[in-house]
Amino acid sequence: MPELVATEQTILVVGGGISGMTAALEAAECGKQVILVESSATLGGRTALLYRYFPKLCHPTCGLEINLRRIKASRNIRVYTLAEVTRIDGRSGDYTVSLKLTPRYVNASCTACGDCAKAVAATIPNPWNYGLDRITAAYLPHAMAYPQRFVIDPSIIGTPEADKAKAACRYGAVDLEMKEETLTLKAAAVIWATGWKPYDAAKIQPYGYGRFKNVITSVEFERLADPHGPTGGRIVRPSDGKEAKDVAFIQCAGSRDENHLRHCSRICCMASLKQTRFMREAFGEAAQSTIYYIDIRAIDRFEDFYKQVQADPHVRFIKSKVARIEEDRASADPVLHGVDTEGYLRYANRHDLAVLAIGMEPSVRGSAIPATLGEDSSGFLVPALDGAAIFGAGCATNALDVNRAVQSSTAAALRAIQVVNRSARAET
Amino acid sequence: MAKKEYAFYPGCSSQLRGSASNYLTSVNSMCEALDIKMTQIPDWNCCGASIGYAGSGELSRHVLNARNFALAETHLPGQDVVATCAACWLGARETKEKLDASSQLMAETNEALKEAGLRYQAKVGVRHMVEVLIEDIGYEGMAQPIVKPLEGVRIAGYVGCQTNRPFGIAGESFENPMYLDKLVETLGAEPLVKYEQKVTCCGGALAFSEPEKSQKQIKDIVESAYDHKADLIVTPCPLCQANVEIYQSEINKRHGTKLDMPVAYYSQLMAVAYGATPKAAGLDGHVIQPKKLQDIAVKVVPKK
Repeated sequence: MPELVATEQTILVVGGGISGMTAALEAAECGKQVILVESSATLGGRTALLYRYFPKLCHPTCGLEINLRRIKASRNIRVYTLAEVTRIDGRSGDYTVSLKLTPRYVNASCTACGDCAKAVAATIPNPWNYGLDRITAAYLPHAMAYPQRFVIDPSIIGTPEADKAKAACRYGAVDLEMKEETLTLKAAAVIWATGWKPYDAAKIQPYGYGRFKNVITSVEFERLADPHGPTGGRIVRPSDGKEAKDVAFIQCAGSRDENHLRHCSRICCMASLKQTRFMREAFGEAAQSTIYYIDIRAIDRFEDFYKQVQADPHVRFIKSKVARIEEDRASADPVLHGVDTEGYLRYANRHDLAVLAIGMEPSVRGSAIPATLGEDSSGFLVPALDGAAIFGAGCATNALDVNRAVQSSTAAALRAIQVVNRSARAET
Repeated sequence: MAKKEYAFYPGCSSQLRGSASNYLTSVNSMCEALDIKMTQIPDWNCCGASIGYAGSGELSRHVLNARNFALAETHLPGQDVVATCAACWLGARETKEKLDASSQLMAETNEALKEAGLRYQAKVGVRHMVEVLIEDIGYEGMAQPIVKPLEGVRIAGYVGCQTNRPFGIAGESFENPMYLDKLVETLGAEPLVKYEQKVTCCGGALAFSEPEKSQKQIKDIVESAYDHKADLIVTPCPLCQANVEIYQSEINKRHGTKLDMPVAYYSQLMAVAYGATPKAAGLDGHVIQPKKLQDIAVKVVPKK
């Protein structure tokens, strides 16, 4: 049932990660009406899935929590989760946008008490831990989730499991009759901040991701280190649950490679350097990290962080693009093969765990988005040339860390504000 | 009429007294059971493998293959060229891709073919027998004629390089292709999916010129099969088959090992499963006897 919820003064922000939240807040706090649309069940995006971010090793609760508080406090922002933009028509200052709302099967009466999760036995792979563990099919995405409202997974709808969830709810919040809805609204400008996804590591076939249990990605390692993660913060091997004290970090896993991603993903060097600190934190003197790299790109002010890690005797640097990984059959240890280019020495190094510093691929790559934006050879969005008021922001436009994504989003917010101001002037 | 028809390019190793003549025998049995009609391209010539790369230059290598294509287009119109040898397929497929992409190379090639009164029209498809099985027949289709499932036989699928890189079988991984495992499973045998030497180089032509190096490769391939308790190794490539089987005795002399691992073609497995006699499945062409297959092949089962 289409209803008009916005005027041409409104800015639509697509994507509820750190970039979209930032753009929405900047615009809203300048007095603009904002609609923030997120395709998953919660705001926070990939930032919420980090254990800590570089360079100050803050927990993401810090940055996200303050942003969530600002969103709750703002009367100018309306948030839609489980929502996708399916169509944008019109022109700068006057867009008509179609939203598809996927049912959550839980209404606003939810108090996040968790009784439904206790009642349901069915489980699904936990997307918030990159599938490393399973959660019940009635779940709160994570501790920082916004809205703090449970979700009933569509896989149990129509089964007795869903009825159990409904019966367990004391607040009448479980509504199994919810249907997909379409919403039409107006906006003056659109900010496209749909972020990134980790490159599919299985495509880097010589590294055996998916075949060898003890080859994981950097985003998965982040979940292992996190106390809210699948292992409660214990850095252990997927094959046998033993502590992974000797870890190989493989840089440019997918990035800077014509066979995979052409671009430098920019965050991976710092992510691995940071993760060597997690190793020290977990295992102290027993920690051993080895970074295999082409060159370390700790850009501008991150050089200090790199220097500190270099000074750590428990971190070894090997200048080499790892050629392949094989698995030792008895121990399931990954054995890395390649050539150390400093001396041209071949190696066959055994580790407890290999972490692929996985490249950053724009989420929009290969999908037809309903917006007139171009894309570069890596699939990142480039500005429209037709004068459209649809602006890319954050990792949808480039490989960026949190800090730079926020800068990019602030810039996009300003562009959108200018459009609103122009169209407002034209009307008065 | 047969269900499927192809222009067959057997290649030199399948010829009488060639190292893979038993491959040809088993392919014939397999195709008969699957109702596939393979017609040899009349007067086919060498694909230019090995020697062609070493000495003769690019154009003559492409002309060699293009002549086979032109003959197929003339005598067997509308039929894909199908090679059973991995090297033939690789060379022929390379020629086809290069000619189809370069009008100049095409013109030069046809200039040369004109001397023989032939012309390559770029109509013909070039495929490996394995592609035909997977894409045209399908695993279900391959299961149809089975009368003797290869129950209890543990088989290491050794793919080698030539059906794998650079073209590969569509949809397969280069590092861990699964098609042989799926085929083995289809035939009722036990695929050793964890066999990690699937795509290791067998040494190829270096078996002659660098025996120590190639035998190191072969030793790894065979020993890993033992580690996984394989009864035999299966391969889609005549050179892999020859190298891996024949040199085991030399490795034994050199290293004091006791390698005795049979190496068979996928087509032999299929022929046996389809009820062929040991001879019709080409099981008489081995240096190391594929005992398990022979036992199954001599078993008498009631007709389906």
